[in-house]
Amino acid sequence: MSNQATKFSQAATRIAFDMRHRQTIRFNIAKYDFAVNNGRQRYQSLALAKQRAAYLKRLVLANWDTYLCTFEAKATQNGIQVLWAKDSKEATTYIQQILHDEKAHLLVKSKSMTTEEIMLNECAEALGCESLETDLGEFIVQLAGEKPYHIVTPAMHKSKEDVALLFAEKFQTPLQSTPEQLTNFVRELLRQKYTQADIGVTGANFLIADIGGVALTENEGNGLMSTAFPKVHIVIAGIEKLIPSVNDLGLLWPLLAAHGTGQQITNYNTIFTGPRRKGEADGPEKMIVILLDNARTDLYADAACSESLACIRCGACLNACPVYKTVGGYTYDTTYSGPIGSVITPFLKGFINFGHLSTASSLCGACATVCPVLIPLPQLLLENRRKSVEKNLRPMAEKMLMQGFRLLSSSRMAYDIFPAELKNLAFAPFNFILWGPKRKMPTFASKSFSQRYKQLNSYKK
Amino acid sequence: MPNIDSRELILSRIRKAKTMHLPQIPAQPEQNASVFHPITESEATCFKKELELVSGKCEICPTEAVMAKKIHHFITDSAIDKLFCRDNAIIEFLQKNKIPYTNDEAEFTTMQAAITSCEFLVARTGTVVVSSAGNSGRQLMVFPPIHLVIATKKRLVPYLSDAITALQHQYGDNFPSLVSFVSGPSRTADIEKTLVLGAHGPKQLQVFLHNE
Repeated sequence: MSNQATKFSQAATRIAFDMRHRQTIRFNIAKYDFAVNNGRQRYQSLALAKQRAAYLKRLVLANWDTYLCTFEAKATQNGIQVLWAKDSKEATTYIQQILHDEKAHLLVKSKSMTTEEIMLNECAEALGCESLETDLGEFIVQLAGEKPYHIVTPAMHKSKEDVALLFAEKFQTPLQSTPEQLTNFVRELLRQKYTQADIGVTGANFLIADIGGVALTENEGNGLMSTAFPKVHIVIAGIEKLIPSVNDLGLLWPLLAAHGTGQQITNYNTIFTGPRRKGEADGPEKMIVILLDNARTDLYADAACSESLACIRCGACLNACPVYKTVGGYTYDTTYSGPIGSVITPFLKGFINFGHLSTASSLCGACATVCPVLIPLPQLLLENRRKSVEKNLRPMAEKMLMQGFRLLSSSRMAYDIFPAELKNLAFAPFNFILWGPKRKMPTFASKSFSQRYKQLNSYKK
Repeated sequence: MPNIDSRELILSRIRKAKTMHLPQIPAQPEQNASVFHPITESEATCFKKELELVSGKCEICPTEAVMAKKIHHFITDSAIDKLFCRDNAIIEFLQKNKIPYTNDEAEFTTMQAAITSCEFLVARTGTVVVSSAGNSGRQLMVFPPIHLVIATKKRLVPYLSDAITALQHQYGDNFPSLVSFVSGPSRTADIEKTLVLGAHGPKQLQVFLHNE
């Protein structure tokens, strides 16, 4: 097993029975489930909406190069500078160059997993430029020196008491502060920052090919604030974020909201098509879009898993996944966690270190059921398992065990030849080694199904 | 600074992958039926109901004069001294109706409330579509603690897709640099999924809708 796989197992064992963690996650996800259930009622036909979105994103993938070029041409026409980055290193080099050219001291950013992927905060701070998360959840995890726990709800693992305690330590706010008081505190603190910042950074929920625009979805207004005051707006976007047309947003915005948070529509859905135009009252002087590959084209080269590039990062598969709910976001030790993270991370960061994630699934299918763009996640996880086996990345013991199992189970006689007592005895050690002492191995019945079936039928005759 | 090589590299990798396996496109699903519920009441009533479901407020006024009266009431009730306004057409209306206002930029950071116009109103979702095109710019849609919006009923459209079509009709290929679809006051639920209004943007969103 790779070091990462061992780390995963150890972290999972530790956190799975951490009752406080379990309670916090259950509480949050129960609230999410309730909201999503209400959100579904806002549709006359959610199934049709999902089919349309799935179709759209597949259409983009089939003509990916064409849409990218259309986007680039239109965006450039709009006065946006478009930069192509083959990997994180190139993206951070671009950003450091911009920070240097602008003599930037303060960067404010809205929530974006792509900026986590390229470690934007570390890259800015290496140049002595403060990089400030402005989404409340991101602000909390940055303050705590942590990474986002969840791709949509970064501070899901913290109770309100945890946050109040953190703020009391860092800002001397009262220990009894309510979520409302804490939110207000951050509001006032950040209002001064937006107006002083040199650079505003956002991600992109969608890159709109036909108008060369960027669509950003948020609830708090921090994305709008981060792009209303600073003189430079940088967008970091994965190249898979494309959609064909601005007209597709009428379908995609409500769908993203319904699956991300259960809202009918997210509070602020903004389309950016450039820096301040002639005659406009305010806005940045420059807008730069960095198109990030970072192994997305490797994922595309895989016949089966290329479909996962249709993902709109709503987070629904995380919230539905029994494994995610048990081991939590940090155990994955990746930027993208949950079922979608388990599918794409081996391509982004290598099968050697992250191939094991495809086994972090019970293949129950909940993720595929909730996916708004109909990605067959359990099948893709199985595909990745097969790849790990073919690449010889699974432990030797597992290989031998599976071969032994195949030998026994492929012949009825071999299966039935040993009495149940003996089989139970032989399997007993696994109760402690593989299955873990907190779970009980099911036992073999004294007679197998086949034996009982034969017996019953012989009576009838 | 732009790296042409990376552009070519990325595009060529995509093209090469396409020759190895043709990406599958499912059959195009039915495109005409609406996936959303129909609007059964008037668009104004639907808009008001939807906006109020997401904690915004909407006053439907038969005339501009009634609207002026309602704005007077609102600022008195909310103890607002004056409205911040950058829009000349609205300033004319405020002057005519003796509603206290300022357009002094020195008062920007200390303002209690701002008033702007909007592009469109979306009935189904209770959405106010604002843009950077007018004098109000990007800042006034998000910075004020209280955001007042005035609109005529002509600005109402049924669905989001209608608002997008209307924007294309109005601006063609030349969109304002920012168009935002705002549905209610700023909100967050990042601490234990507890809803708090006014995360970074306005704590209140108040729409005044009139017939004229």
